Amino acid sequence: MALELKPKKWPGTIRTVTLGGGRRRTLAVGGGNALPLHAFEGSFPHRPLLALEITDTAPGRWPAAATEPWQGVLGQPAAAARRAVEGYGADLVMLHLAGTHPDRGNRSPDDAVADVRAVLDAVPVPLIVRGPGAGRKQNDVLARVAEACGGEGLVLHSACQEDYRTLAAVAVAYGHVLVAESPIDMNIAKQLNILLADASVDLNRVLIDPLTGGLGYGLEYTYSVMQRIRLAALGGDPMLNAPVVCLAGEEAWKAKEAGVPRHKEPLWGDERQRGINWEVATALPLVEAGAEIVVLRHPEALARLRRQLDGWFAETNRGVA
Amino acid sequence: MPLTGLQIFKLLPNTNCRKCGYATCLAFAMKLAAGREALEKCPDASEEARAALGAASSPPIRGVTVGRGPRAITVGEETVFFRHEKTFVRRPGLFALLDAKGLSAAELDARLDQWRDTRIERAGETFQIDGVAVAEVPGSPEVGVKAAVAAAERGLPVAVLAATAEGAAAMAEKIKDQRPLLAPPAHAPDGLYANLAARLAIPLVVSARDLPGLAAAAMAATHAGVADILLEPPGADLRALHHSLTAIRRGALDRIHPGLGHPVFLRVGAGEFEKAVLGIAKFASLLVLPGYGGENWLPLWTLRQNIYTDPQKPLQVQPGLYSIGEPHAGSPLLVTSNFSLTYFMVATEVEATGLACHLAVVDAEGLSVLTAWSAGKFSGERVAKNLRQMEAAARVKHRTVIIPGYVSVISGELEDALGEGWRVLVGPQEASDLAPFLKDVWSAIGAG
Amino acid sequence: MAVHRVTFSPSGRSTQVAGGATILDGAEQAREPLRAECGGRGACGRCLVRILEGPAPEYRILRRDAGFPVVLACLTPVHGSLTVSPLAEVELPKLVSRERYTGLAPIEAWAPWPLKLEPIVASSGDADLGVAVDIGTTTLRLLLIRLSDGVIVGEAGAYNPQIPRGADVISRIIAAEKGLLEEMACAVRGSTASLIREAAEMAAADPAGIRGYAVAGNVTMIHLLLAADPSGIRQVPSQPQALAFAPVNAASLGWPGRQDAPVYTVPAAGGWVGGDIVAGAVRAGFSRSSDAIALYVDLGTNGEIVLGGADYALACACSAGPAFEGGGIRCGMRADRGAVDGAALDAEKEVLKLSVIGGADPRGVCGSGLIALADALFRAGWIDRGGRFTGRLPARQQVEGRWGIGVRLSHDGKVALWERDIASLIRAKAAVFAGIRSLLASLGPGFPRIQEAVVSGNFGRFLNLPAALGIGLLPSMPLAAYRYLDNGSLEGAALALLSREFLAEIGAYLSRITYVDLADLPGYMDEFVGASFLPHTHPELLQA
Ligand code: SF4
Ligand code: FES
Repeated sequence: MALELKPKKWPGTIRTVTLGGGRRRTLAVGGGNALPLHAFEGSFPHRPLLALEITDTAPGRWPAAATEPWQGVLGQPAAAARRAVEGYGADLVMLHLAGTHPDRGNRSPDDAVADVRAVLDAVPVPLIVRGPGAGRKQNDVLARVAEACGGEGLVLHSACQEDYRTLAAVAVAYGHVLVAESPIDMNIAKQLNILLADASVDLNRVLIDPLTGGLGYGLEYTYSVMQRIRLAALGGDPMLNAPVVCLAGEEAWKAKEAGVPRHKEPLWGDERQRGINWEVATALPLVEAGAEIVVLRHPEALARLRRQLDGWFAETNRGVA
Repeated sequence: MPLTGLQIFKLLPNTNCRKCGYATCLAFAMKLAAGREALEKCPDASEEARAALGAASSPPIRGVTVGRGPRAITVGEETVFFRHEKTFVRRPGLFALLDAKGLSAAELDARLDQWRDTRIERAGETFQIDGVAVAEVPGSPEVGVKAAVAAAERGLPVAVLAATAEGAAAMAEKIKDQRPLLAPPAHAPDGLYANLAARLAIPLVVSARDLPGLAAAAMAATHAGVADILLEPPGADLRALHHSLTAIRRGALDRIHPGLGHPVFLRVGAGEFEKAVLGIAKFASLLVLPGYGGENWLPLWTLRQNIYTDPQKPLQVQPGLYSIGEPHAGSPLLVTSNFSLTYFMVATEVEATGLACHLAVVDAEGLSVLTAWSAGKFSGERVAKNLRQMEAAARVKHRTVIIPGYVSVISGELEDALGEGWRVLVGPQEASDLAPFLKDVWSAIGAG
Repeated sequence: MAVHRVTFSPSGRSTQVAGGATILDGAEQAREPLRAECGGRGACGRCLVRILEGPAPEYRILRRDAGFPVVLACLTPVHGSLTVSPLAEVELPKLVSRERYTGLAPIEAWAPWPLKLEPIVASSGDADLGVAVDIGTTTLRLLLIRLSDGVIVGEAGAYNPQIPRGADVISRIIAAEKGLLEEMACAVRGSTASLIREAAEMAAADPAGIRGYAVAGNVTMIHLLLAADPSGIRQVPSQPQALAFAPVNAASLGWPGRQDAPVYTVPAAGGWVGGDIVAGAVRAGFSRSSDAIALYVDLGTNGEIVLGGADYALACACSAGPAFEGGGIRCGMRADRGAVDGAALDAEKEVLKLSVIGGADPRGVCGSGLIALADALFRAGWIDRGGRFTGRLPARQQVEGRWGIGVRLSHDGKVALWERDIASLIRAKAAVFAGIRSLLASLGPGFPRIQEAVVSGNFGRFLNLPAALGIGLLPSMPLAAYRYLDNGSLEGAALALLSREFLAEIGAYLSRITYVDLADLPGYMDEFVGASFLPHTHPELLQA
C-alpha cells in the first residue's frame, strides 16, 4: 500500500508587515500561506523574528538569571540596545518604557521620547516601543513618541479594544505599525482589527498581540487561541491575518519556576538553566502556533531559538533589507 | 469524520424512552457526539446506528500500554490535530534514559529508587518519571539486563533501547511479563526485532528513513504478529522531524494508511531540549529524555500539563491577591471573580486609573461575577474565606474591601463574615465606571 | 454581636437587626414594603431612605434631604439604632392597558392548526367563564373567556406586585429564601384576584361563573404562585420543586369561581424554560412544523430560546439581563407611557427622531427604544462597533455628565443614553445571539439554517425587527421569515383553556424538548464574546 501525502493548501495568506523605514533598516514579517513552520507545504517569504527586551529604567523584578546578561547596561537603553543587536544578535529591539508608569517612576512623555531617540540613534534595526500600559499614560507616552519619531516605522505596543482611537490616529498620521492587543480571545482580536479598520488604519500596518500566557501560566490558552486565529486567517478571514507578536520573555520570567533557586527546590535543578529553558519552552510553542515576532529576555534563549529557526528557514531571508 | 448530534439523533429510535438515562434521544445524541457517552446505553439502537457510530468512533490512533501495574502507561488514542478541537487524550510518557555502564549495583539501586520516588506537585497534577529507557551496553549484555530487571522490579515501565538483537532478547525476555517496550537501533533490519516482539507479545518501535518506509515497516510488524506498535519518525533536524510528526498525525486522522495509526516514539539526546519541546507540542507520545535533571524536566512536564489540559475549561485566572501598579497598605482593595475576561476588564480599567490597587481574584470557578453570585459561588462567606486565604488583612491597613456593584447584596453578609473592623464598599457595576468611582469615592472616604 | 433597632416612619414598623445587617434587611424583617427591585444590589435606586435618627455611615450618604442623610437601604449597614423613612412611594404605576383582545375568539384567531372548541373544564351555559393568565416577572395579564363560544369578554393587566421584592427572578428567589415566599405568593394571588374582578366588571359578568383557569409563567413565577420553595431553581444544575404541578383549587388561591374550579399550570421544560415558553412555542405552531428548523425567542428578563422541528426541539435560557425591559439602563423604563420606543435618524443623519409612547417628552427608554436607538447610533457612525462613542456625535445631540458624554433624548437632557447603557444592551443581545448560535452549533454541522422565527416579548407592538437584526440581536434572515407574537404565553394559555387537544399537544411537545444548559455547551462563551459587538464577529459580515 503506497503512502501518498498531499500538501494542504489554504485560501488565505498572512499579511506582510514592514517594520522600520526611512533611513532605518527595514524588516518584513508575515506572508506565509500555510500553518506556521509547515515549510514543507507552503511558502514563507520571511522568517520569524527574534527580539530582545530592554527597559528605560532598571527593571525591578527580573530574576538574577535574566538580568545577568545585561550587567552594566540596565536602565541605559541605548547601551543595552547596542548590546542586544551587536552582542547578542537580536533582529530587533523592544524598548519597554516601564518607568513612565505612574507607579514606577512616572517619567514624562518627554523622557520617553529622549530614550526612544537614543535607542534609534544607537542601533539601525526597527524598534518596538512598549508603553507603560496604564490607560491615559499609555496614550500620552506613545502618542508623543509616535509624533516625535515620525517616519521611523516604529512598532507601537499596544492598543486595546477599550481604548484604541488615540494610538490608531497617531499610527496612521506618523506612519508607524500598531500592535493590537486582545486578552487571549480570538473574537476580541478580530473585533479590535475591525475597529482599527473602521478607524482608517491600514491593516497591513497592524500586528496582533494575543497576550501571552507563560509556560505553566496559561500558555495553552494563548497557544490554542493563536492556532485558531491562524486557522481563520488561512481560511481567508481578512480581519485575523495580521502577523502575531508575543512577549514570551516577560511572561516566562514572571513564572515562579523560572526564578526559585535550586537550594530551595532541589528537584527543580539549576535555576539559571531552568529559567532559560522556561523561556525557550514558552517561546518555541508560540512560534509553532504562529508567532512571527517573539520578544525574549535572555540572549541564550535567543541563540537557541535562532539555531533552530536558522535550520528551518535556511533558504529564507531574515526579513528584507 | 465524527457525527454531529443531529445526525446521531436521526439514527436513534426517537421514542424518548429514557432507558439511556437521558430525558430525550436528542440529549443522548448530543452527549454521544461529544464523546461523553457510549451507544451501548441505548438498548433500542438499530444495527444501522451501531454500524454508523462504530465506524465513526473507532480511534484513528491505537492505544499502546507499556509496563504493568499501577505505573503502567498508555499512550496514543488521539483523535484530533489541534488541542482546541477536543482534549488530547493521553499525556505523552516521559522516560528517563539509563545507561548503566560503570554503575555499581548500589549506585544503580540508588538512582532507580530516586527516579521511582521523584514526585513534584504542580497545579493539581503529580509529575513523575513515567518510565526508564534502559540502554543495552554493547559488550556487556548482563549490565543492561540487570538494569532492566531492577527498573521493572520497582514497578517502572521499561523501554529496552537495544543495540543488538541478542542483547534485546536477553533484556526483554527477562521482563517480558512487565510489558517492556522494545526499541531497536535505528534502521535495524525489519524482521528480526518484530519476530522477537511478536514472540514475547510486547510493544515494538519501528523506524525507517522516510515516511513511506515507516508506514511499510509498521505494516510489516503487524503482519509479523506485533499487536502494539510505536512509530519512530525520521528527521535529521527539527524541521524534518516536524514534517514527519505532522504528516503522521494528519495521515492517521485522515486514515490514509493503516501503517500511520500508531503513537509516536521520540529519542531526545543531551542538548536537544528544543526537540523535546516540539515533540510534546506536536504529537509525540513517548519520549526518552537524557537522565533526570529538574532544569530540563520541570519545564517539559509543565508544557505537557499545559498542552494536555481540557481546552474547554473556561479561561480562568489563578485566584489570589494581584497587584496593579505598586500598591501599598493604603491602596484600595478590590474584589472580582477569576473568570479571565472579568479579570482582564477590571485589571485594564484599574490600570487605566493610574491608581495602584490590590485586586483580590476570588475563586468563583471561572464564572463571571453575576453568574457566580446567582449560582452561590460569590457569596459573602466565600469571598471572605478567599480574602482570608490570601491574607488580605496583612496587605492593607484600611480594612475596606470594594466589591462589584452587581453583588452589593452580599455586602452585609461579607461584612459579618470578615468580622469586626472590616467594612464593605460597593463599587460600580461596570468595570468601566471604576475610574470615576475610585477617584470620587475612594478619595472622598479618605481610606487611603 | 451588637443588635440595633430599626424603625420605619411613618408606618411605625420596627424590628431588631444584628449590627452590619442592612436597612433593607430590617425592612424585610419588619415587613416594611420597601421597594428593592434589583434585589438589593444597589442597582435600581428604589430603596432610598432618609435617616431621621441614628448613625449614617458617611461614605454611604448620597445627598441630604432637608438635612437628613439619604442612603440606599440595601447598601447601608446598621451600626446603631435608626429611624428611617422610605423615599419612594411603594405603589407601582398602573399598567397602560391595551384592551385589544376583547371580542376575539382565540380558537379562530390564534390556533396554529384547526382546533375545535372543547374547554378543559366542563361548561353548560353562557354564564360559564374561564380565565387564561400569564404571570410574567414584570407583568400579569389575564383574559376572561366565555366558554360557550370561546370569545374573550374581558381582560386586565398590572405590574407584578412582587416587583418591590426584586425585578428579576434571581432576586425573587433570594427574597423567598429570606422568608418572603408567603408574602410574594399572597401578593400575586391577591393582585390576580383583583384583576379578575376588574375584567369581570368590564364584561359585566359574574366571576362566580368561572369554571377554571389556565396559567402560564416561568418556573419561578409558578413556584411563587403556589408558594412552593423556589430556592432549588438557582442551583447548578437547576432543581425546581417540580416542572409540572397538579391542578389546584381556585379557592385555595383566593380566586373566584365555582366551587372546585381547577387552576391548571402549563408544565415547564426545565428550570429556566417555563410553561410560558412552552405554551408560546406550541401556540406558534412549533409542535406541528415540518422538518424545517424553527426558532422561538422570548425576550424578557431572561431570553428563552426554543429551536427545532416537529420531532425534536432544544430549549435554553440565556441570562440576558433586564435590558430588554429597560432594566439596568440609567434612564430605562418599561414599555409604558413616556417611554422612547423607537428611533430613527433623519435624512441628513444629523438628528435623532424619537417615538414616545403617549407622545410626550420622553421620561425614559424601554427595550424596543433601546434597540432602535443603538441601531440608529451605529448607522450614524456615532458609536463604533464596540458600542463606544466615536466623537462624531453632534454637539446639540450631546449631554455631558459624570459618566462622560451621552446622547440627549429629552429636551432638558435629563433623559440620555450613556455608553454603559449601550454596553448593557450589547451584553443582553449577545447573550441571546450566542444562545441561538450555540444551540444551532450543537445540532451542527456548520450552523444549519433557520427557516422561520417567532419572536415574543414585552415589546408591545413595537419591536423594530430591522433594528434587532441590525444590532445582531437576532440572526440575519429575510424579514419575511420572522413573525412577532405579542404575548405567546398568554395566547397559549388561552388555547390550552379552550382546547383539550391543545393542552394534550403541550404535554406531547414537552416530551420532545431537550433542555440544554448553555453553560454546558463548550462554545457558548466564545459565541458570547463574538456577539458582543455590533452586529457580531461572524465572517459573513466581513466578506465585503
Ligand atoms: S434509550 Fe435510546 S430510545 Fe430511549 S431515550 Fe435513550 S436514546 Fe432514545
Ligand atoms: S438599589 Fe437598593 S434595592 Fe435596588
